[in-house]
Amino acid sequence: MTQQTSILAADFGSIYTRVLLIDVVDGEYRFIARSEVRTTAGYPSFDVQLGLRQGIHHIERVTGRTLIDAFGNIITPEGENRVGVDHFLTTASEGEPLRAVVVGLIAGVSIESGLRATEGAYVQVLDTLSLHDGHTYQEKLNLLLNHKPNLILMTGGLEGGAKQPILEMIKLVRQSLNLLPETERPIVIYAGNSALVQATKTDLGELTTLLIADNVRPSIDTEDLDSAQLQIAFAFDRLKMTQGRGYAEVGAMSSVGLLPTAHSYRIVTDYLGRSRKRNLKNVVAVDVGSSSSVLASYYNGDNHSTIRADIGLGRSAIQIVERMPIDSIRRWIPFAVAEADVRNYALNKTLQPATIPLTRKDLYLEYALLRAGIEHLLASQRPEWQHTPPHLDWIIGAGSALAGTGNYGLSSMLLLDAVQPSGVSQLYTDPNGLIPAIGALAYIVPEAVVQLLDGNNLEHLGTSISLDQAPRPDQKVLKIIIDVEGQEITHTMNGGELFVHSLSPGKVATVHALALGSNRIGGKQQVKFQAQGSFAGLIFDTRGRPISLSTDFAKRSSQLVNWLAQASHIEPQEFPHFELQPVEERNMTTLTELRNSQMSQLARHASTEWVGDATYHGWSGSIFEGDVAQTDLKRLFKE
Amino acid sequence: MMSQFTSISPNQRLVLPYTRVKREVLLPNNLIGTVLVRVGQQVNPNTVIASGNRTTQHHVVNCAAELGLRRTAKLTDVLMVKLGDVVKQGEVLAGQQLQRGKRSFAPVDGQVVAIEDGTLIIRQIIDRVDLLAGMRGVVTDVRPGRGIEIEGSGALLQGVWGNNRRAVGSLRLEPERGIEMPPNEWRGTIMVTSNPVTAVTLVRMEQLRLAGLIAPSMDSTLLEVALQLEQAILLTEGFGQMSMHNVLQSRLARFEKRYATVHAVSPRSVVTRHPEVLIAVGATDEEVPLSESLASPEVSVGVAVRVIREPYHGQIGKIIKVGRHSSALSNGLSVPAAVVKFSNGRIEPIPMTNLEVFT
Repeated sequence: MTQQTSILAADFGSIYTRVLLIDVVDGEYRFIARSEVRTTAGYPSFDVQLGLRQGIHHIERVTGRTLIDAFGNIITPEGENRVGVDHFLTTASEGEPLRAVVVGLIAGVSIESGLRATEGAYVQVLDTLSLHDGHTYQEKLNLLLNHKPNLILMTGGLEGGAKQPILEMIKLVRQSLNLLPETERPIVIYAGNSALVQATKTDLGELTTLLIADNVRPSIDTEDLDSAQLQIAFAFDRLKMTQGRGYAEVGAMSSVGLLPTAHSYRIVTDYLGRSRKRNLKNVVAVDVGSSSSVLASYYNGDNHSTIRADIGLGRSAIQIVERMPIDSIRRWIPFAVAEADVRNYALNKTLQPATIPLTRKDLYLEYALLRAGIEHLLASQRPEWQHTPPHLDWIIGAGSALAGTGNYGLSSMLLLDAVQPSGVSQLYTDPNGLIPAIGALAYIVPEAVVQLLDGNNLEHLGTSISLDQAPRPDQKVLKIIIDVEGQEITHTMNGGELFVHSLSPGKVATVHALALGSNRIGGKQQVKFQAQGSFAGLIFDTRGRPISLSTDFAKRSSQLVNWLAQASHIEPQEFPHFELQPVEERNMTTLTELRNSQMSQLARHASTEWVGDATYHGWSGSIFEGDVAQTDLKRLFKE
Repeated sequence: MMSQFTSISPNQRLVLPYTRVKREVLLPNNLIGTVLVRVGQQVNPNTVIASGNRTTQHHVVNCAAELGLRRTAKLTDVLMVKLGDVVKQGEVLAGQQLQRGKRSFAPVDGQVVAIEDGTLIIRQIIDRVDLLAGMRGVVTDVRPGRGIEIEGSGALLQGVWGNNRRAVGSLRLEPERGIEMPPNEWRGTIMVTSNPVTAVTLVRMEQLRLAGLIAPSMDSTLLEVALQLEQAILLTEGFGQMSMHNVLQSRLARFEKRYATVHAVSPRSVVTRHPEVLIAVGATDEEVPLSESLASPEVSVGVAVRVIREPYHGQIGKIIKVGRHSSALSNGLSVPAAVVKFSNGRIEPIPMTNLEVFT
């Protein structure tokens, strides 16, 4: 019997704040209510509490419960008449990531473990410094100072190993801290040889916030990341608290402080991958947000998570264009478009991150960026999947871009296009923001995690059956027999097709798929299984792995249009011939080119006509702001 | 059964004929700065409110090793400088005698910031930066070593992108037939154009020595150039070939020849402020609220909105229905939307996030 514990969970994303009420019903944890409002961390209010209260008020209204007192504080613990909640939990992905420098002894050992420890939190690793990295002491000192990290992660030294090199490292960090004003000193996490914990405390403890973790590399063959990862989450919490914008007040009300949302994805894939009940072997969860993205994967017993603060479909949209070859984006666009126009689109999305494509062209542009972004995430975490398509039991999509389309077929196709699994996979989305809440719940009510994940609280999009390798488009490659309550449907597919068969939630079908010729379904000639109904239904994919897009642009355009129509149930709308003709590329103009090409003509004009002294009243100059990024500074100062 | 509620408010843009604003003006945080004004002081756009020394490198000078000292503690006996001293390149830092013998010299112009274990650390000083107020107003707060908060008043118009520059000058509208008046009359002014920025616009801006440019849009191919130019560029709509919307255009036209400050802020992931134009207009006797307090309108039926994405970009209409549930769009998406009646009578569901409310 589950002890009665009510939970209010809030997740602060860049664009949306999601609030969930979870309570025990009939002895099990269930979702009671959910609300989604705009995040109010930025201009003009700079206070996340405003959005949070708005979201909670909606929940109060629909449930009839009182959750906030007259001062705007969340009432905890739950009192009589269901007033308040027992726990308030908060996670956040909004804002800038922790900017970290990892300091260690040896690049391939302690530094590598340190880098792995940063996975699972919003950490942008600016640099690594090791004993023999070729930098002088002075250069290391300058790197530490000029990077302006807000976190230094110190690793190094095996348990029982040499101490002197670590003492040198501690000295370096101490000197860098001493050279910074108190308010600008980074948090330091020490996760090295435990014999030097006291020396670290003596040297650094009074200079900054010092967090001590277990040694990430106690021996050459062992790695222990849990403690360091927990301290990184704690550092994230500390940093958020000092950033203002209402986080200190929200964190003070929370039972667990403020946890990074991304941490939750790792917990969920780990749980699902290990769960004997579901018998899953391989699970992937991908969350594409506005500013950042998370990919967590449990594959053959190996759990990894990757967070990229530069991949997102809103504020980070332009960074996808900057990091990816343009044709990896354009391959998903069925009309001719200049690189500059893809950039225009991405820049506008960066400026207005919450906007939604209304035209069909914009829809293709939007989701081309999304696919390219996820492909980039996957390539960085699981490069081997580019050559060997993964067999994934579950694929979970989260974030507005994947879970908020309101079109289950479209969301399914986007997941398939980006992840490109082989064999049979169950496709899910997390439209309610369950996963972020679960990460925080794991610390205080672990049984709730199990019950919520086992309780079908994710949205089951569909079941995909995908062929491996590259089936030929002119040949029959897959025969399907679907039996629903004794009614049998048979369908044969050529290579290069997508076929969606509706099977509503609650229905069950026996699916028998036979790969023809040398084709295979997840390495097998045929599969036969019971499929549960879902929102999109059964999705049969013979497009090959990797998806075989025609090199002929007109044919590719037709492929993309037809796949979208098949998956999303909208009328196929082919692009007219003129939209497929090559467009003129407009190259990026440089200042030198601009001046060389245009100035001479204008200068001649000016030299003959500009006479007399003007009264020069106006001026222009750089904007200075406290937190201007280093790259911006180069632009602010004339170099 | 779970209850769900989605309340997505539209975007907001402040276009106010007269308002009060509070703005922070800060030095970059790698400067060691001094604030030169006090709370309550009146400042003008060109008042130097703070100054600081820009530093980039620290130099570690191992004096004990250079002097051949066996014990580093002995360095104190031969030091010629103390903590905090400003030194010139080549100046003697330590040695038995100033003029001869083994000596350690300052490698750069800078300041002694640490003396430890026989070494000195010199913080190199590159140059001095003066921070101008950039607007007219009263200092309401001082952030020690960093800058100030100023409260001022005037007309406020917000844009969407800027090139990280500020400009102060009088507003001038670009004539429809191009610039015909003597070019020197344009110097130091802020030109308002209703046309998208082109390469020629940027060249002309440099050539005419404009202080700034307010334009609706610009192609992404000009982005790098725009970021390198000294003049401020503020876009009101975005990237591409969009035209300036009527309300902004008419407001800017009304303020021609007025003195204005363009804060062409480049947006970052944490948006601290919008690119904006603050125009000096005559003060009124009425007490006006701070601009930011006006920025949270309730969205309801009857509110005038403007669409900020194609295919209705720039069109103005009124909300006639706010749906509680998602609406199906013609492209297959289904999202929270408001039903908008445009001025031409057309009625369409538009995603709430694609709408902008003017305050």
